Amino acid sequence: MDYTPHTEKNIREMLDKIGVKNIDDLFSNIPDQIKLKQQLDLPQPLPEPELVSHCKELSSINTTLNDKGARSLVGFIGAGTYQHFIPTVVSQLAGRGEFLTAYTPYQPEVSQGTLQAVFEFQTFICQLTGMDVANASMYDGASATAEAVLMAHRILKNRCGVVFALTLHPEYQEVIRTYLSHWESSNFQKIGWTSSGEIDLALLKKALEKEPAAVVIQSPNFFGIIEPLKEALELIHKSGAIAIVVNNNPTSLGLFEAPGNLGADIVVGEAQAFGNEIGFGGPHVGFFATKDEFVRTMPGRLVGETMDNRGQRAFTLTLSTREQHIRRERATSNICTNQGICALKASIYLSLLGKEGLKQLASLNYSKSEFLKSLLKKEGKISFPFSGTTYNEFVLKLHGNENETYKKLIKEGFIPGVTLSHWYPELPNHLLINVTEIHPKSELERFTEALRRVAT
Amino acid sequence: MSAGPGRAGLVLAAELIFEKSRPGRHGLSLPALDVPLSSPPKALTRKEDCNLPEVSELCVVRHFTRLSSWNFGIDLGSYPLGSCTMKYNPRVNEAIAQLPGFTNIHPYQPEELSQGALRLIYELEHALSEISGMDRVSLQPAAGAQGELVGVKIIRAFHESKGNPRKKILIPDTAHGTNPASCTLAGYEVVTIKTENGILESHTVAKLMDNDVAALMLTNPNTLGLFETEIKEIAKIVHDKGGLVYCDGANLNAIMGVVKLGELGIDVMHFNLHKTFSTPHGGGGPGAGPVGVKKILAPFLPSPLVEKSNGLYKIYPVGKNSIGRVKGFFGNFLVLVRAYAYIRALGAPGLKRTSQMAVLNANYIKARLKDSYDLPFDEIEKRPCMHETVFTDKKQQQYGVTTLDIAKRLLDKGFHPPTIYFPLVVHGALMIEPTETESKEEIDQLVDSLIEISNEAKENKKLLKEAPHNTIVGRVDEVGAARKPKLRWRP
Repeated sequence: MDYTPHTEKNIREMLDKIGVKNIDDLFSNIPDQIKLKQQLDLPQPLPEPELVSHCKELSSINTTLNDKGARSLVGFIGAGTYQHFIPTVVSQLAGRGEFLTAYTPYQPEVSQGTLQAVFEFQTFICQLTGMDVANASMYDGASATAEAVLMAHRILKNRCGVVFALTLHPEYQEVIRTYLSHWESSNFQKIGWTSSGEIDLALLKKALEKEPAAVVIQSPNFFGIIEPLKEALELIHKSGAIAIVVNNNPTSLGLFEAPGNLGADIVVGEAQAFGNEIGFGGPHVGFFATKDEFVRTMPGRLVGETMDNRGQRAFTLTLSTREQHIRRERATSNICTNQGICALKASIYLSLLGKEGLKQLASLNYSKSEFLKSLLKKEGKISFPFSGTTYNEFVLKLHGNENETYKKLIKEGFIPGVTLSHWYPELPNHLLINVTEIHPKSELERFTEALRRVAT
Repeated sequence: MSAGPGRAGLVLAAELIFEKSRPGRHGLSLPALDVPLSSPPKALTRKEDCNLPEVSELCVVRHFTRLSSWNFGIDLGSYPLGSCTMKYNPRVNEAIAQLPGFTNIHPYQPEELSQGALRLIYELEHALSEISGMDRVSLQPAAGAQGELVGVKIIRAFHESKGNPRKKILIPDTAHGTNPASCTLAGYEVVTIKTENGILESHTVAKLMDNDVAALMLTNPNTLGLFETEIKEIAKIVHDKGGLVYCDGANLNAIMGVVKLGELGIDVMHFNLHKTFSTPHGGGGPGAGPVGVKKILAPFLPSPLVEKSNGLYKIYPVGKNSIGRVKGFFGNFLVLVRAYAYIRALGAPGLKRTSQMAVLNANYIKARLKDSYDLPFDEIEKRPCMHETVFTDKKQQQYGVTTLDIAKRLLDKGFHPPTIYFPLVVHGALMIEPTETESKEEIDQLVDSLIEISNEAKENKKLLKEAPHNTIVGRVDEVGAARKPKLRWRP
């Protein structure tokens, strides 16, 4: 099946109109010696029924999380992408062809649907983060964070360097390093954590003496802990640096103070938790918000409200002179395509959730996570290394070997979380565990019992 | 009656979702709290509620359905947006990408539990290698522009490994805006090559090529819809001075199964799965921009790659030369799933026919429109075009009608306009890419509509100047939007 509609008669008529004998004549400008002599070596084409059954087979080999499928396990695995309940309405609406098969809204008169939806997404992100302005989306939380560091250097042209907490998602740390790989390594300063699992403010104070352009702090951090943002932001502002706050589960903002209300200069992160599947890690939806005064140094697309020539409210892409298609090598970023449909899903989800729903959702996540913690705290073979407040994710330390415990728990029907030693060799046998509203009490109890059985 | 499908009809208004909010309404039923209620320390909690709109489920359904009805998409009609490859996005791929075995899997679950996903990544990499003639492909970049950044970072890492990153990258003036922007982001100075007659000539490259040039970045077929015939000679000139050649794969739809870029001296390229391989654009994403490289550059690819050993698919640890990670996790996996399904449906014969039909359609449009609209360069007039072609508004300008007017009037006729004012080297450009999935009848309607517009330009200029007339909003004040930006709703 190749989705091309022409009949032989069509092709003949078109070739005649063009004035060539055959299709090959249309490729006559490509020198013969470089043309392929053989067909591409690819598997045979599949008609739709076989295609569907082949792909179902591939997908069914995978073990899924928490969906009651044939190979599904109960999972407590988060670490930057979170499984929340997704209402049916979200995919039904976002799957409409009018949204799905439109391009970037360059022609506003036939793109008002996309444009208004983006304007609403920008508003949602501002409301959640407590910031003035947000863009149409970024690829993901990691690249949004790297772009925020670049933006800080556009704001503070005379400064150079970034400080980040080691409790920033390790992949985000890597992406910052990649985006800025042509920098001297002395421009990167890393800050460790205290026994609470929070950023070490004394170390931060010291790092700020080098007058970096930006400081990046994630809250809830990679260990699930709410960072002392108020204190940290005060220190950062005193030093004149740009404070970047990362949040990769903004459902937490239904319960915890918004970074914008604490004085953050740039807030970035991941809005996947709102209506988007974990999907083996993508596509997700990065968000990017800042203060009004910095809007012209922002990366990415922005939609603004304006009027049409009939006097009606209308929306359009705006402030495009920051962007690559106008400014080329002097653009604020190279980003073009972003994560449109994923942002739309987030907007639909947030519309359904509403003001009270957001608070309820955050409270459910917090309470269930606290409940599992309270069950596990009664177990002798487990300890809790960090004392800080957490949201819906926390670290526990096994007394036995992480690999053995992990394997045994899988046999018991659980994917227990993520082991931290891959990124933090100094934290062997530590598990990062995520609990959301999708986990009923009975599963939390069963998991505790399983852990009791297998922990040594 | 106009030639195109455009008609005026009833449209339903929708305020902003925030303006529909009424205290006490909600649209989502959350599970009940079945554990004791806990609250965090007061000092950390949010002081003021986040004022999300309070609306019912039906209100949300109507709101977004109405918004969708204000959009034009491929599912509604022809979308001949040059360089964007707005082909049909097969519905079956949407269904496949929603299989729970793809959506409900976590990137950090053990490899043994994700064998289906890893196999898909592995097989897609191999298919893209075969199609392009590149040796290895990273599927991680989220979009074309991120692919470019990865490609240029790889170029930098390669030169650094030889002791000198070099300073400049040569880019023809016909390039997409993302090309120079990506080079700047990777710390390179951009040198623009002025092209004569729409084609890159080897002697021009030879004059600019020196030991400070890290790479030449080109697009083939280029944005004028012409195949760069001197590509092999040009690549040799660049290689002889120690440089590398990058190809922007945005226009790959013209040449699948016809030539392999990897056999033409290209060292590194990116693919746009949301163009060539039919994944939907979604009104601005998500896309996917895999990067292919020749063997010498493979050690610099970003992590992670997938390898097969002893019948198991494994995530390959990143080597010390890798440029590192550009994105979280494995890239836009569910976009990769759609592209994989597309390639499996078409196979080698389908992909080749795709390119043939895309080229046929573009040439047919060129043949039918060349009397009504100006073709900017002799080379465009003389040669067959590839998958797209570029006209200008020169013939209409004598009546005071511009490309923008033509584009806006085409909306009334029921078509999305071509890409306008790009490439920048063509004054008043109209860049048309019909794609292979449009039928002859649709293309004839599009062409007839454009001919009607060229007649209207002579006879009724006002109709064009005030266009569009049939759309839900009239011409939008973009200048006003930028002068006093209003970027969010406030109560």
